[in-house]
Amino acid sequence: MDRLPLTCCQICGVGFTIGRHRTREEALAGTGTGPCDDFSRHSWNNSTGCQQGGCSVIDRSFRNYASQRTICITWDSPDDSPGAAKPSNIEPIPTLGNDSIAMWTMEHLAGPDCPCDGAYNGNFISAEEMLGCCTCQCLIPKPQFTVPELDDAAFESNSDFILTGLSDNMPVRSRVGLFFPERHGLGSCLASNFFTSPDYAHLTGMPFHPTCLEVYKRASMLRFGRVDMEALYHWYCLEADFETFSSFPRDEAVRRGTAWDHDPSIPQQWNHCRGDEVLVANPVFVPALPSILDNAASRGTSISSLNDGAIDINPTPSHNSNQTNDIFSTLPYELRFMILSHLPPKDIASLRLASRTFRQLPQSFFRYLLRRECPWLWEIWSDLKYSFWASEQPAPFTEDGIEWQEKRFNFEQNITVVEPGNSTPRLVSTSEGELPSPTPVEKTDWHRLYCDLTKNWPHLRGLQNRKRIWKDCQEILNRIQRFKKAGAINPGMDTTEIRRQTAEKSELALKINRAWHRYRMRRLPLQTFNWEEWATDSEDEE
Amino acid sequence: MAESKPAQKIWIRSNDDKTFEIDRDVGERSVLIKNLLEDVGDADLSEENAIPIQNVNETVLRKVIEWCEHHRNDPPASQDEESDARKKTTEIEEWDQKFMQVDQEMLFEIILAANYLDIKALLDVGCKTVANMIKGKSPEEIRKTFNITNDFSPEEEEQIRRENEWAEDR
Repeated sequence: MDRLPLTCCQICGVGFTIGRHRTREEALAGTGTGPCDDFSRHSWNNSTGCQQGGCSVIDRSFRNYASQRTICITWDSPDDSPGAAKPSNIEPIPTLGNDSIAMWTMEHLAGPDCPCDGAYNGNFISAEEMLGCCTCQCLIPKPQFTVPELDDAAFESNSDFILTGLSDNMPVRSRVGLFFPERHGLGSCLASNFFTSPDYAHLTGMPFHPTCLEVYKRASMLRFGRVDMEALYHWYCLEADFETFSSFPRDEAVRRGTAWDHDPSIPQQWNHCRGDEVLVANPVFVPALPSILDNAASRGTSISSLNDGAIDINPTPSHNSNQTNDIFSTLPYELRFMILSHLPPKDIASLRLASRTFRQLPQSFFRYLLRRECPWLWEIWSDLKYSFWASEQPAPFTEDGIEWQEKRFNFEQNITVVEPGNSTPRLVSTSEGELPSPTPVEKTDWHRLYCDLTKNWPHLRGLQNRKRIWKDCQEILNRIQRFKKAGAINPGMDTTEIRRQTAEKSELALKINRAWHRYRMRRLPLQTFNWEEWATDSEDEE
Repeated sequence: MAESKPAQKIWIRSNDDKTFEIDRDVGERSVLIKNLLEDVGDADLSEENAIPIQNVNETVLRKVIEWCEHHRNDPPASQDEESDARKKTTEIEEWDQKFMQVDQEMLFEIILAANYLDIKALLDVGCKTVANMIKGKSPEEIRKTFNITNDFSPEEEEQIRRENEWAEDR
């Protein structure tokens, strides 16, 4: 039995086996299906939790589907509360557990208070926002005999590692992922956050969300002035041991999701905690963001320069409304801004309410502030194009029963991403035109943009997630800088030896961890633990 | 520790005609003075020929010189080490904190003088000190601290609150 924790994105720490329970409305309208259904269709809490949570169940079996006889079961509360009106085309069945309905054809539809943690509740995050959260790609040592791929990124031809294709079906138990397209002859690889043994180190790839890699690239641009892929891979080789990966500082929500404290003998799955949906929101393609950026640009057409005042001050007839005579007005503009540059937003707002000197602020100041407070908002400073891999998304399900069945039964082969031009359906690529172009510096209402971002923040889950991943990237970059300073990583170096050393370290840590677990199962007093006594090499007799 | 050569002296004069004799390296903390000295031959340096510092009076200049003497051996400002230089913004070293314990007029004059003399580190300390006096305070407390009379009408105040929307908690 596999006793390793589930495979997560090396960059952001979130797993790939993410589920989403559709809402009843979505199921009836045939929408809301996303890339991650296989993990969520059949999980529900059969006890009273779902009954009280307003959940329902829909029979999605092929025959019923074709004949439009969708059966929807709701758990009506005994007192028959009038709360949920049932759509008329639905045949209600009062009790669950009816033998005539095969359980495997049932899809659980989440009610607002669904207690399940096997999938995120569709009422709280849309399938659109979640696109890409199950997609995994790897950086892996270059196979010995390989020919260049047409779409090789520049770094791939110059270094000893390459990108795999994509996979959206990272298995929970084994960590071998199937990748498509087969790049450099690799159709599968061991996707793992740490090496398990020196023998497999050259077959082990660093797993990540292609969207998280886009976040890293831009963080690297800001730190090093360029995208340093090599440093990222070298960092992985140095830290890909069990201990180091599991102790990487992560957001609280990630800790809840991975639940490292769980018994490692249980095949692990991602904990879908209510309230933590933001973890799986696409950090690159944020549905509500383009309109906010457009709005700021369209309101900025009348702006002549960055020095223009950003605030519309009504010309009030009142006395000397623009005349200021407090102590701050003795300072020239640039010194006033120098003081502001040391203040967090809240204090700047308070100062504006205290002193008339700061009533008007130029557009350039809000641009500065946005860049300072939101460095991850790369739309305003970078024109780096998104990689093909990140913009490639599995298309939504069509309401085709056959296709659904195929997906249901073939999900081992269910690769949802193809190369452009391939005729396989169900795949869309975000067209070039949809990629945000950098916001024009001169012609943007930066004050408006900042206000709109703040106002809409609760809905901008993708940006919230980007902010979190950005923080993780900063930690990675800090570590890279330390390794560079110590001479542990160098451009163009051979990583074979590093991988071997890390793998040995990791193997030992895993042995100790397993021994500790065996020991703990016996509930013996803590002082007597000596891991070697508990490190039976025969695999897992219990 | 014995220096073989006595420090070279230079003379600067405040705008109210007070001449100060200072060591050259102290004076060179100011980029303005440093640049001026480069244009003047060593032979022309004399008490009579003191460099005029037009925008700064005696009291302020004395204070600025005191700062420059204390910081004469500071290494040149190191460029951003690891990320987030912003985190350190409120940190001011102890001596500087004491140095900046002056009345507000003086504080603002030091800032202006540092700006004029182009002493970046002193300018930074000055601005940080003012920023620290603002941090965490309500508008009313800020007004009190800086002796500002509130001349906003309630409508104006409401308008400013709306303009401050960007700064609200996210």
